[in-house]
Amino acid sequence: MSIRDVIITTLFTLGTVFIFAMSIGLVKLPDFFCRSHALSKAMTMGISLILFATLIAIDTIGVGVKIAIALVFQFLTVPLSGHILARVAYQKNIRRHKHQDILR
Amino acid sequence: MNLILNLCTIVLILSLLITLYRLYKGPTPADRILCLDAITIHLVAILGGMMIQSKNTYFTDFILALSLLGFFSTIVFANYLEVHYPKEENEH
Repeated sequence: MSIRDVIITTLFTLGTVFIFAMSIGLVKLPDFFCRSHALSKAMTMGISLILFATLIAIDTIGVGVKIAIALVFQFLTVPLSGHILARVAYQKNIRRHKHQDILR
Repeated sequence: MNLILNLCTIVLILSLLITLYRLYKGPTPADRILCLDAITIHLVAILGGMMIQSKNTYFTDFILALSLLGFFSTIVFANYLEVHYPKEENEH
């Protein structure tokens, strides 16, 4: 294993951990807005790390430029789509989770 | 390296199945659109792992096309919700 393989594997594993945490949050959180928060933050981090690992692993320059374009695009648009969906849900007055004390 | 990448791909597929559960269960259409976005990004991640492992470059165009498709379909479905979905009556 060269040093490049170590870097690629570390970045890919970190991205996988972030995406898996996002998926757990998508199931366990109680509310649409909480789920949207989980998706926007963790998914941006995870997909950026995975595409960066792919960018390091690629030798050809044309393919590397395409992967870099995809990385910048995902980094810009995942939070944007989450924000637009949350704004529409807020306009439509979708049910929100209400905070309540544990010891009642 | 190959073993760790295989394990990561298995974890990604498991995460995709968990997301499909939320797609089945989700109470509002907004949850389902969120899951659509998550599914396209999972597919991009799995294709990235396949590119690293197999050392070929056939999947690059698929990565670009899937990221474009996920973003624009999310925008279009959000527009659909804004126009056609009725406003709910909830007390906050």
